Amino acid sequence: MKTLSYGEITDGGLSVFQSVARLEDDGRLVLTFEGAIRIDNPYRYLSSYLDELARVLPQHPITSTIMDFVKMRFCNSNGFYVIMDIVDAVYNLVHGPVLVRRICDDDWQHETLPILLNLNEEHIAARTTFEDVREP
Amino acid sequence: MTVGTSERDIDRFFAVCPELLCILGAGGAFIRWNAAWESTLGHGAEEMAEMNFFDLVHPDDVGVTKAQFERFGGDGAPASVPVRLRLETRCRTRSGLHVRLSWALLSVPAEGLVYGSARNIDKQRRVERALMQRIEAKMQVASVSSHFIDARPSDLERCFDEALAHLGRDLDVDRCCLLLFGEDGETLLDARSWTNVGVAAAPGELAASPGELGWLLAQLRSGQAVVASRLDDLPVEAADARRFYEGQGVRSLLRVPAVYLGRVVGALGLEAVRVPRAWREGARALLSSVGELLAMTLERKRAEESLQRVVEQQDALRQVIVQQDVAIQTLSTPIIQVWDGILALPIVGAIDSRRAAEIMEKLLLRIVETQSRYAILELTGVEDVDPATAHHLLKMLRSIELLGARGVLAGIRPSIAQSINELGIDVSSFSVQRDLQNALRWCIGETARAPGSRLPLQRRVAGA
Repeated sequence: MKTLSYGEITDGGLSVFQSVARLEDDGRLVLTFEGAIRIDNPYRYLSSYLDELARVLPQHPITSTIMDFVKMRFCNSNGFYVIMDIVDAVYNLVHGPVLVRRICDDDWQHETLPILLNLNEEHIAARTTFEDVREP
Repeated sequence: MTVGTSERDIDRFFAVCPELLCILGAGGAFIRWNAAWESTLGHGAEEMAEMNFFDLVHPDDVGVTKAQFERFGGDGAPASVPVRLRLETRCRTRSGLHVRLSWALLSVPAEGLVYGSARNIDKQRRVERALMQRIEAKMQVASVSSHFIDARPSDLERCFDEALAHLGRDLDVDRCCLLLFGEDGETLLDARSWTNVGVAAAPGELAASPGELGWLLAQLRSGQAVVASRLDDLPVEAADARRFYEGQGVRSLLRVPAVYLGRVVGALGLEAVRVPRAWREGARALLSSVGELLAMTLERKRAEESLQRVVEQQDALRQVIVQQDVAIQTLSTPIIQVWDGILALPIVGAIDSRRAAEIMEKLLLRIVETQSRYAILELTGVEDVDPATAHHLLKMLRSIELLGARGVLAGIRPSIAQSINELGIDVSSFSVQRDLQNALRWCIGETARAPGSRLPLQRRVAGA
């Protein structure tokens, strides 16, 4: 397992959101999203993470991807843009199926994630499956 | 400061501008474009050189876009007059995805050129759509909730039916249904449904034979939704459920558990009958929210019914206690008219202040009512006499005499006689008889001897 990139948002000195891109030994890319995005300008914290993702993802032979939102509790509309940039980077730069893990009874993840993932695009919808899990 | 030549300035603007800039020739061929095309759509310079503008437009948008472009050459304006145009198109990226672009175009017919500037609004539109969907979902939940405001438990079935009709119409489905589990969480207690106009009604899950819906109900009870765009999507182990729903004319099925505080109390469902349909994520999320509302309402109804049962039980018990209290009081102080003008009051058990007051009140009332001249206090049932009891007895006897009647003590046990003596209580002014029979005989004799007596003594004694 190798950590490819790490992004973090802090608020008042406390870490409120983290996203980690890991490459498993079997070639799977695992992207985790944890915490909540409530601030106005998340790019201030995450732009270097996005740049790093765009740089490193094409360098690795990734066979499949897991995007794990189970520990992501909330995201405001500014955060939507960051999430879209991250998932767009994955769909554009990485081949193979994408498994999206989300909380089974969370409104915003069920309503909003399909839009942020851009499932209206047939190419994306064909590559994507969901795993609904209980809130940890 | 020196401003450069216009060509050099344009080159620099083309290089720095984050928006997509281009100059199109006749028929939409790219003549000039900036670097933003590659960063936005991924197409390199060589690809762009070989492409036509319409090659990039999403197939579904080509017709509308071409129709817009035709305005560059028409609308009755002189060919020499530039035409401005704004439009939105989805354009294909190098990876095959599409990005929504907002265009500002200027056509210069005299030169056969179109100048264009485009902004990527794809993410903005997706965010707008996500936010609108959330707002619409919340509004739908709010409008369904309105059916339950101030609803009485007796109205809930009507409220459920109205809510189902509301959901069914909003989501434009063929059938919308509600399953309710019993309080044990296992039994299927009720199934209600709304059917759209022109769709055949179905008897619903209550018509299923035992075990037929086992897999489906187990899924719901474990908090899992059942989603099937076609019944064939159901797993092999759901074969019985699939046959059941086929029999009901269902072609697409959605069941979402209704959960409140972690307890599954039922499920909400949608069905397509006429044409199979894919259930969008928003519908499932909406059903989940409305399901929570219905579960909450049902739990409230159950809690209110349970509370009502407890209150009714308490009221019934309170009534029993009151009745028993009255009965005990009556039994503990029976005042018997044993002869004309003679009352007997057998006293049993201890006498405290409260009981003494009750006995005295009743006895004095009966003396007045019956115009009795004698009241026999029969003490055989009194186990012991303490100073307080003795004091109450004396008070009772004196009160009797104040009404012009005579108090007679009867059935005093040896131990009580000893206690009265030890306590120094003087009963010499009252008649004391050995037992009730002697007391009665004495009273009758006194009555007969009394001046103005209307009944002969012999007859009265014989009657006794």
